[in-house]
Amino acid sequence: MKSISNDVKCYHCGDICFDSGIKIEDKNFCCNGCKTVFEILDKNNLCQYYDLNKLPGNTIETAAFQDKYAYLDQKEFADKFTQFSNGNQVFTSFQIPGLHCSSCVFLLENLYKILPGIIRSEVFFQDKRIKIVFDKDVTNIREIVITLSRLGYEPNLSLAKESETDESSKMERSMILKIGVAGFCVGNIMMLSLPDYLSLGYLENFVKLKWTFNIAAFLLSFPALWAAAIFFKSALSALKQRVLVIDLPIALAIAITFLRSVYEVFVRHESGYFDSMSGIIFFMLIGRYFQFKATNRLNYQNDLSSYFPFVVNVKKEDAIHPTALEDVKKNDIILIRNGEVVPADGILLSETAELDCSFLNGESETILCMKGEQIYGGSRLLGSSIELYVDRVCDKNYFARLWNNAHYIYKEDVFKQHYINFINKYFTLGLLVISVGVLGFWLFVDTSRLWNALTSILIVACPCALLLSASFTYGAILGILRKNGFFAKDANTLELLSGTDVIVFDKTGTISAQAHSSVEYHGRELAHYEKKILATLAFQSNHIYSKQLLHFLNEQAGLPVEHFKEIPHEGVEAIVGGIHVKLGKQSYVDIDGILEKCPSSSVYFSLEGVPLGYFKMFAAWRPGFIELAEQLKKRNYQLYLLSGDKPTEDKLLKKTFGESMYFSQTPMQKRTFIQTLQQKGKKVIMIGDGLNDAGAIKQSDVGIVLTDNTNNFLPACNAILKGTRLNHLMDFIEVAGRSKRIVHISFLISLIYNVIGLYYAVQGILNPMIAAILMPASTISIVLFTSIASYYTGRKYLKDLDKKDDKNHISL
Amino acid sequence: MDALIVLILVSMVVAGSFLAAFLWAVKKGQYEDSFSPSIRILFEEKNEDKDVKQL
Repeated sequence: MKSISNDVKCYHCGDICFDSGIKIEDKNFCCNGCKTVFEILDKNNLCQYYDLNKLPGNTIETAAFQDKYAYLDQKEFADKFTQFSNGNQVFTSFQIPGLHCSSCVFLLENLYKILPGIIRSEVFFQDKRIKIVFDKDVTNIREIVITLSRLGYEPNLSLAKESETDESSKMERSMILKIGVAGFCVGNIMMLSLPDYLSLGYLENFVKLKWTFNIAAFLLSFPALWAAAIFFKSALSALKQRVLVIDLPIALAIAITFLRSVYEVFVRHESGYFDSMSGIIFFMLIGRYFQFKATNRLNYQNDLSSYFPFVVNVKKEDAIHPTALEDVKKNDIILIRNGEVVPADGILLSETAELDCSFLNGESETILCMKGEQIYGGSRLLGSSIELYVDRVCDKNYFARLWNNAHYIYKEDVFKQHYINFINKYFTLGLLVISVGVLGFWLFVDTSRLWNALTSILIVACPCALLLSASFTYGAILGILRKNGFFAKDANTLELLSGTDVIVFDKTGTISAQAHSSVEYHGRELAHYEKKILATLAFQSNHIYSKQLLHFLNEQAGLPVEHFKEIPHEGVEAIVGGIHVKLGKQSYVDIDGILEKCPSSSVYFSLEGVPLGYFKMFAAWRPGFIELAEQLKKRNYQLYLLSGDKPTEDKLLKKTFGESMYFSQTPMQKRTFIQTLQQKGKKVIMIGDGLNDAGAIKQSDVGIVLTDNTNNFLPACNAILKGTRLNHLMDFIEVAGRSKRIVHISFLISLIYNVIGLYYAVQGILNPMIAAILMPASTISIVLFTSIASYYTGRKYLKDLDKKDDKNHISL
Repeated sequence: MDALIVLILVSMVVAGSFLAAFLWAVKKGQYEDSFSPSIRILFEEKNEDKDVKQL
């Protein structure tokens, strides 16, 4: 990608700063961390000691945060964020979504210099988490949260989140532990088995020594069995529910191998298959870990749980009591503010309420409710605060179910079904046929070899290699794509992506981007203070024009905002710094038509009801988009453009999309459009950026959300794509297609190994040495093949991208 | 050849101590975050803070 002249780069770390609005004089910064570090370096002429305490600036609306987090003064809430305390020392931990570079780590780990009372803070970069130890006599949770927020690292306070991340980090820890233990076992058992294999029968002369080797292997297999407990557990619980899971054949293979080995060692005084058994366990656990890693990473980015209401304001005798969600009771009267999620079902007591139900149904159209109407929990309030008379309390699980059902789960389930079916249908069937055939054969030929042959089949025909090939390939490919700015939700996305034939683009924000656009101002000259007012208001809104405007005004937002109101498709208004300001369409701002009518896209504004001017918006296409469209068309992709805006006469667009452009589309129409395409048998990729595309994204086979700022709220989707990487979409699709091929080839490899193993097994002549060679050889060659193939695929298609990301901006 | 039996025992003990070290490291959370320590090493730190930070 060629760099674009009007990209604003962070003065400190060189990252592109989109609309952070953080700047000192003429220097821009991508985050507060970089700015602060710059200030320190600047102030001290790069000297060694960073005295953060004497910092000026870096205050973002302290007062607002004071209010917002007042509830943390109450012990019951503060306690929820206390992990444990030891005398005066209290341990706490927060999720920090804003964490993104080395300067952030630096600043946050020096927190103890900024806020007295903090003893130690430690950043976990990959989890975007900070652990803090503080002295409860000197400071408290609220002060810490406010300090963090003030520095630009507002923590994500939600209990659902806390337990979830705890769970997943515990899970990861236990997985690593088990892998380590299993690896220890497999290595040592192999070592102990080698003398037997290599001596070619010579060891038979030393009965005592052989016995020692066998017993040691036997004892070492127990820790490995402990590590394999998860397979047995899941197999057992599946059996109870009478469903087949892939863990069942694995558990069976492990169990049979163990029992057969015990029989060999203690009855026949031969060496067992302990090395093969612990090998299976070790490699399967690694495969599991890869799977876990591949699906777990995305959580912090498009997790709705951060919107879970945590504290609810209950009104009692005209006073407001912040109350924990689970303590809200029926018949309570609760107060809900702008932007908050309605925490319970109830009856509206205020005159009107404007609700955003996009979390519930994916529609961006807001719903207007009147006094006395029933309101359902899970929607989000826009505009002024309301009072609600609670008639049904929702708990967190209810929200999780509601939101999850609406958007997330269904596609995943389809995948699991498909996957299990594949393994079950072909593998289990094949195994059954072979077993029955072998049973029949040896029953008539030589019954003494029957038992031997049957168990051998189960030992050899473990579906490990099959399972590993998928989880390793997809894990590796997902990792490569992620590194290049394409965050796919799961392996299924890759599979779906490679089978698509239609791509539908949203216009504003997707193929046009604010970072590459220009704005023209028409109207009377603006004073510095007025610019600041407009910037502050624009900062409140997520609309693309607001961002564009913010970029154009080049002012830092920082004035107090009251009575903020956003009317979708119209505009926003608020009282900023005591002045009533409106920003939006002419029909919204300038009702009487005082200003001239601007024919193209524009944003009007008024101060205290007086329309003063308008900003003419020129969209610019994302760099490389036209080339991308050409590439896609060459690959027989059908391209469509769906836009909620007015039609524009743009030659470039016309050339790219031809007649396949549809304007003034409502979210519902967008969705129906996708549906119609799908009814014609098309597999559709929808690429959009905001909530107005949420329905269409959900409807499509692969929904991709384009974003310039990963901290924004994103609608449910299959994948998130960095805005700057849109031009590489074709490469991403190509890589996804390749990954499918890699999986197929490795399936073939593992099949070959299985055939070789079965050749010995059905004859009843499988011995521990053959098993011990075959098992690791198959898994290792599969893992090697998939890793190397994935790496080369990534290199081939995303070569130049890789280099760019490698610098990783360690700039401190 | 009986010496081998002793050697096996000794090797088990050595291997076991490495396993124990690994378990300790996992329990301590050393595998939780592999990125931050690589940046952390670049930070200047005053010695006087050391005592507090080691708590």
